[in-house]
Amino acid sequence: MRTVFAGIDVGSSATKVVLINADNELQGSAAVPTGLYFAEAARTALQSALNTCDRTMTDVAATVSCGYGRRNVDFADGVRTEIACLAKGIHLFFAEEVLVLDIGGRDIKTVHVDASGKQGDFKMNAQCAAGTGAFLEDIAFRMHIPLEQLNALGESAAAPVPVGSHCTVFAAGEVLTAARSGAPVENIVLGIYHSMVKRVIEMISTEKPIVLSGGVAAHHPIVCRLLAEVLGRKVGIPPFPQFTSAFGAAVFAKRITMNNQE
Amino acid sequence: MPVDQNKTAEEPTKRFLIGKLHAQSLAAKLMADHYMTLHRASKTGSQKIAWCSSVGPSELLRGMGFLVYFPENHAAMLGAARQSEALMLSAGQEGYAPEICSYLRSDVGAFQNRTTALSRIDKDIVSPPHPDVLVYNTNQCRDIKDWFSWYGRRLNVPCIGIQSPRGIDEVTNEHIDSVAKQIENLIAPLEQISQTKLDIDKLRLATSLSKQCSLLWKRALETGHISPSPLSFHAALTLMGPVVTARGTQAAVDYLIALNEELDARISRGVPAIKNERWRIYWDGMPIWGRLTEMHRLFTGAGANITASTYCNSWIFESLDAEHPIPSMAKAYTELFIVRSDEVKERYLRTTAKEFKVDGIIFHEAKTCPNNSNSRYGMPERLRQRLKIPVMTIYGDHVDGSMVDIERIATQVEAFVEQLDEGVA
Repeated sequence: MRTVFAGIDVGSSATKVVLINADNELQGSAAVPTGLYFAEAARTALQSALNTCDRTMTDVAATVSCGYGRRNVDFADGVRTEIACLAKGIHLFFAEEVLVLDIGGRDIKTVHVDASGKQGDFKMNAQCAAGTGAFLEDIAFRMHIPLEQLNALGESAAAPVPVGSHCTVFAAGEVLTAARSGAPVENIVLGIYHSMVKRVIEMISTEKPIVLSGGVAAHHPIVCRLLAEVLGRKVGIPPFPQFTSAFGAAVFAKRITMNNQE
Repeated sequence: MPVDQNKTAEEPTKRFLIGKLHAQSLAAKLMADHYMTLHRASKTGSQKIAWCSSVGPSELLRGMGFLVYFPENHAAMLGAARQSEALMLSAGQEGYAPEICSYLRSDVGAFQNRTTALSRIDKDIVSPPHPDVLVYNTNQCRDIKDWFSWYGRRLNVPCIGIQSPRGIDEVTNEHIDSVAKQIENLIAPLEQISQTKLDIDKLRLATSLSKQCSLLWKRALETGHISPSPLSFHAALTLMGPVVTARGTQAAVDYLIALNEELDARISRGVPAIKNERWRIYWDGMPIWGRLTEMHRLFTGAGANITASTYCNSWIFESLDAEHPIPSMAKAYTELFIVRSDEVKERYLRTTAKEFKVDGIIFHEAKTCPNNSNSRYGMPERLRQRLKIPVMTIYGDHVDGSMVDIERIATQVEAFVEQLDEGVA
């Protein structure tokens, strides 16, 4: 009997899979680097997710894909945008009306989700990766700091070094200038996080509760804290923030199955 | 061509109603004839040629016996053929910044590289027609003057024009008088260049024909009020070619009469432009010329039809009056959407969105065309709040493909339709 519903989010950096049951409970999950071959990444991630809960492909009732490579998942039963899936996914964890701010590898998205989980207005960043995961990756590379150490470094800082540039490359130049003048590395890192927050603030124009999701929220929770400080209000994070869209895709997969049964 | 004896008189009409409009073929032929006429005149010197900005004083030029060439149409053709990006580099080498009009940069670049999109019409056409004069109106933007000035310097050709007021709320008599005076001031230099005195009857005729073109084009676009619409944005962009380049001619009037007849036939038979019009969209801003077919498939695949647009509505000059050609030209070219303040534009968009019964509005923020990009000062948000319909901004450019992330746009359009499906404004 097919007991799980699969949501696959093929992002530009990582492919995430979530398996849920009929009660929307998480059964398994996995994330793999997307690389250049989206269909292969999707299959690998799905198999990994199935392995985590001792299930096989025959247990999968339906699959929906979303994300940048959504149309490359040739075995998916349905395709939705990551925006629609983000709305559905966030509603599993936040029952009230919210603005979800998703910071991914190269995208920033805001989506209004009403109290019934319906997707409302949304925005995406203009053609610039400032404020995204790609920005952090590039800065970490140029500073010769492992990406996974950035969050802790930022949290240990006393005060941020201002970094003003929108451009990742020019921001890296500011970082070098600050380092040359003896600024502590952790203060520079905190400044980088502050500059990210400045970019995303421009996309927020509501008094509704804010929820932060995406890979940056998952691996750099300092951004959530800084955002809350700047906004002067609480900012929520769902469980497994990098998998929110995949959760939503899985909910859509369940809907396909239910529609087919009617 | 042999006649199929089994075809009934009904069938030719039926053929026109399915799929592409027959008028699209008529438009293509009219455009080809237009460019061949210009080409022959350029080669033989049989008639003087004026280059004119798209909402410039073409009636005056026709009244003086000039053939009229519109470089913007050529730039759009370059964009549609995706030639622009490579060509713009040459303009960049002369100091034209990447942030300025990509039409200008690609057209100038084409000239520098001795290539032209017009070769697709006939391989004997190896360059745009040589101008005897360049005539601009800055009612649409400053870039058109910079563009024409480049050619003026390069070809040693007179470059003259009108400096229009911009960002206008109410069009006043002072505005009209100022522009009318500048139009009158063009007459003497044009007479000198053409070696012909202004023929007032020709000017009146051109003005009258332009007015007829405007009203017929408006009528055609207004079929978009009907649900489902017999017209799509994609089709309208092809159909509007003669409206821009041949307005003021009888050929354009005849073509538009045929277009309207065909649209009427579609309406009477209930034939829509797209198979499954679930959602009706208003498009503000420039087309993305290099991605027209992809964009059309993106929208129609999602059951969405762009039933109205600022761009297609921009070539309607209702104030033209053959009895008073020059003041009416001044009024007609000054009251255009692109010349107006954001308050006036917003009022227009609110009214038009309701008339065309649109379900959502999409603003195209063209990176290098600020004058045709109306999303920069909060208008989308105000419209969303006022109209209670989804309003979205996408980022691209009219011909600079490096500014167009089609994957991102595809995601946005699909998500926009998903939002419409959810019924949340």
